[in-house]
Amino acid sequence: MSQDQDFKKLQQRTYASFHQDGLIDMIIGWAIVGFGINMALDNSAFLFLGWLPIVFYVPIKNRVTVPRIGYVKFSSSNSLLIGIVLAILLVLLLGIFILLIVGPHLIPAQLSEWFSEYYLLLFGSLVGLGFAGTALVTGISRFYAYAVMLVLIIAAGIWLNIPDPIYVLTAGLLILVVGITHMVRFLRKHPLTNEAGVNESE
Amino acid sequence: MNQSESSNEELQPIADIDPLIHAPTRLKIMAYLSIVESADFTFLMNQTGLTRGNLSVNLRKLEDAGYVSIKKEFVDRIPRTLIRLTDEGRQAIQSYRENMQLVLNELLGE
Repeated sequence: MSQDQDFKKLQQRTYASFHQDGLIDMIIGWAIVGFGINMALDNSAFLFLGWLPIVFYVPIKNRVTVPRIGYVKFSSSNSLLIGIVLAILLVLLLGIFILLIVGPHLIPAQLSEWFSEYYLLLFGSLVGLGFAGTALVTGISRFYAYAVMLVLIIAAGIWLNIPDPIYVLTAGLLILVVGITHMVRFLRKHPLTNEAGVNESE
Repeated sequence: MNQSESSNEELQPIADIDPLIHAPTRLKIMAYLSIVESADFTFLMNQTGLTRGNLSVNLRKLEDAGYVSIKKEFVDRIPRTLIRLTDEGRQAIQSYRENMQLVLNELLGE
């Protein structure tokens, strides 16, 4: 049992090590910023722009991270677990979205009102759960902080009557800044040397 | 006679420990490889803290035993040495863990 825990810890440390570059944080932060700009300007092009960097995730990882700390492919069972967690959350988010659109006809008026007032808190909580679930599986502990921060910022925004896009943008920018900070620290800690690029065993 | 037989039985888990894996350097390599699908030479070097030469020598020993497979490939014209545990290697590390657990249980009297 304790050996299993040790191996689990080792696996989580390896995950965290591979994601110490902050690239994933930058992409998530940028997506939330895109969502916030979309809300502010009511222009869905920004929603698309927010998710666009996902396309560049693997090429950037291969160009920036792999030459510095090497390449690793994690076992498919863990990737599947993360996929399941995220798929459940996506289904829940879609469910809420559909309820918001057709809700007034399907759910009691009181619940519908609650949804329209606190839908962002609900969205934020689900995204926060996604962060916490991913942190639990991968051991990337800063994702726990994101989960708490997201819910707190949205709750504070609603409580202080701040316009929705402002606190969504704030949350996205904070994650983006943390990502950039991690990237800068990573680049300083692992400078690209001639030797690092050579990946030969002999 | 009976006492000797029972003593041999008690010592069996120790005898079953694979000496090739038991060496700390190779155990480190095997442990890292057992938690991933595959990794390249640089990643293993970074994670285990071993030098290039030390890692290379121990990987060759593990490869000779059939525990790891080493494949060289080119990604964007950069050579990459991809290392993974073979089925035999996964079986070996699993058996090692079970045997070590038995030995520890014996020592702790569990």
